[in-house]
Amino acid sequence: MSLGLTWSRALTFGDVVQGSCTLAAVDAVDGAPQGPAIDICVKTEFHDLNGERVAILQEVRRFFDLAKVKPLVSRAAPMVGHDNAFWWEGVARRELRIQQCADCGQLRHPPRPMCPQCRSLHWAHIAASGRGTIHSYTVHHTSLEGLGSPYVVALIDLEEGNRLISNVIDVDHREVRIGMPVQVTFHHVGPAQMLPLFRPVAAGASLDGAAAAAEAGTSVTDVEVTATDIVVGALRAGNADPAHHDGKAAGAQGLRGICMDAVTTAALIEAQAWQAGLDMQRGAIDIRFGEPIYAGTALQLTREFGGSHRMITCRATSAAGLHAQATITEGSAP
Amino acid sequence: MKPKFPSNETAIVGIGATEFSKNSGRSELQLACECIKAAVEDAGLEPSDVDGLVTFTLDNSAEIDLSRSLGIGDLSYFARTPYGGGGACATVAHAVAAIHAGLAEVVVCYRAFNERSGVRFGQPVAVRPSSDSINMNWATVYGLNTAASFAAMFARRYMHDYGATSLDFGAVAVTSRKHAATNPAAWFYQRPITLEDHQKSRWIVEPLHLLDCCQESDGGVAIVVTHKERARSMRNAPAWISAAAIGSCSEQELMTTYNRPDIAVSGEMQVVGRQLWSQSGLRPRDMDVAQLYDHFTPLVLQQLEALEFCDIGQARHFIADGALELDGALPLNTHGGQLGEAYIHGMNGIAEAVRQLRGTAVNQLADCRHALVTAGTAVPTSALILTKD
Repeated sequence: MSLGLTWSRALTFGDVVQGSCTLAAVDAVDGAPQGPAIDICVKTEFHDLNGERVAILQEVRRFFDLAKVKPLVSRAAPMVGHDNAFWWEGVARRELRIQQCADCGQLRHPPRPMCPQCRSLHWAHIAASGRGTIHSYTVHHTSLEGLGSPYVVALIDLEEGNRLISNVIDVDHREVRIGMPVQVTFHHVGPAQMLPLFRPVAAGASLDGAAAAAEAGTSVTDVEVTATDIVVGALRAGNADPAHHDGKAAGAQGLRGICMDAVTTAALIEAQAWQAGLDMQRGAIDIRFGEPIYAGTALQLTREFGGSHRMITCRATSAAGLHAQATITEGSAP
Repeated sequence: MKPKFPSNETAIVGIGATEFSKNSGRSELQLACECIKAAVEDAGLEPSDVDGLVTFTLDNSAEIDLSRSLGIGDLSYFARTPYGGGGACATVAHAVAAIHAGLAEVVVCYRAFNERSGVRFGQPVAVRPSSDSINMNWATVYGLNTAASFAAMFARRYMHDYGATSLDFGAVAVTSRKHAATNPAAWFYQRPITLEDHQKSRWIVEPLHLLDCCQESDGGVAIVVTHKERARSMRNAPAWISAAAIGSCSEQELMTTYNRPDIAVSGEMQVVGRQLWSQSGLRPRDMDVAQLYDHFTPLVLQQLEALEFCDIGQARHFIADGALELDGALPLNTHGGQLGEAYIHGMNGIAEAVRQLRGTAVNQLADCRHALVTAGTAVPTSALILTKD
């Protein structure tokens, strides 16, 4: 499902707004990675009492032919053992580790029990800078748990001299190039699974971890979602679907409990734009929804500036994966 | 010093196969029985003459079950080759070693599976922990989890380093399918493709299109190997085993050998190639036909280079000059290969090389004295040179 909301003017106190819905389009989708689907686009125009347009909400819901749906490609779970546990412990601490021979100092990846150079069985590790370049890459048009479709897998040449496999994110797959400089970033990609992924860095930039994040205007806000947030949010949005207030009825819909409605989720995300200082009068938001947000979810709202300071991308993630992702642009909308 | 390889001291004297299909409708054990029986009959032998069996570690039909089904009786040798399709020619190398060491006299190499209707190797699979599956896990947690995706990573770097394009890969697919089109045993009999078909076929994993990837098949192939004295007395012209090589390279991984400085070169096939030329005393220019394992088209280009048919990075020019055509310098996959005939883990390539030497192939070459066969690359691999009198 996706929502596009474009403001024509800012709302003021006392505004009375009326919405009218039209079925804008029904499209058969052949190329969806999960299988054939139908996209239903509903357009809602909001006007004030003078007939002036306030906003347009465009909502696309995708319906799959359940008999033909292709499952998501689930990621293999890490196989953690004696020889590589230190590496996964590093990931849990948001640290990219490289195994180092405790005797001759040679760095090696993937981990193995014996140093191929001096045959020592003693090892330690270093923390990698997280900077590297793309040595080769593949583009997958299937849908991967935590990333969706398409997704990119790449060989990363770390500046320490080792090479590792990872996903490259936050870049259009058509823009990925061999030799592209990338920087590690730690992401939740599924229930209780964090992985070091890589994103492009601007050419010539030489910033490390936290400094780079600050420079790029990245900020992270933690929100603990309560049942009250969900129920009050849905009521405020005028959404009477029991999935948002009745646990038993939510269960009957295949949910694990009550979950946050789309408008409240969008509002949480849009608040990030105001906090980032974007002028949202006549701004636009394009949001895609993923995993349901249940009561008790420890939500992490990450926002960062895109190409300019007039646009941000915002992601709502948790241990359960990606809940929503939005591109928010300030005041250029007509 | 490494002892000398017993070049031309053993021979392939029998070949047999089931039909190649997408759904055999019978057990893998039955397919194995059928192809072994056919190979033994082709050699003019009885199953009771067989005293050695060699197959893949992945094969589901046990030697002892085959012995009981076929009425082989006593066996004095069995061995298995690891690493999937990379072990195809290694089965014959094992047969040579066993015969040369006096462990067996008549060894059958076999591979039979319901790879399309049963467990498909093109799909991600659950694995139990082992040193190589733990190593492959570094890729699979990132969604790099199929043979095609592993191959695509090598292909992308190869394109970058040497300027090859998808059209160069497509040329291999077009050639294999052209040869399959005139082979009634091939799944893609009478179904050639054009470069345009190749370009229009859907992405499997960029930069690989569907038609860069071999098909999946049900079927079985068996090969009978024996020693010189016995081979001379048999009804078929022996296909002498001039070279049989197995190899893995430094930093080799199961199918993700990405930690070598240069991943655009097939290190494992370089190891095998050096042995082939040294064992046989032959050179690439002596080869009259090549049955190269075409699981993924870019890896065929890498094989041509690793085996010294052309310089590294130059295979696209070699192909563009028409070398792989039936009237070219090195006719490729005259049966249609894994892409066109069937995916029997490379064993059907060995059978086709034997037919070319006997003069019984459907796309028979005029004068075929030396035939090269390779097994799958990107995994540890193997290869053969077969020669007729």
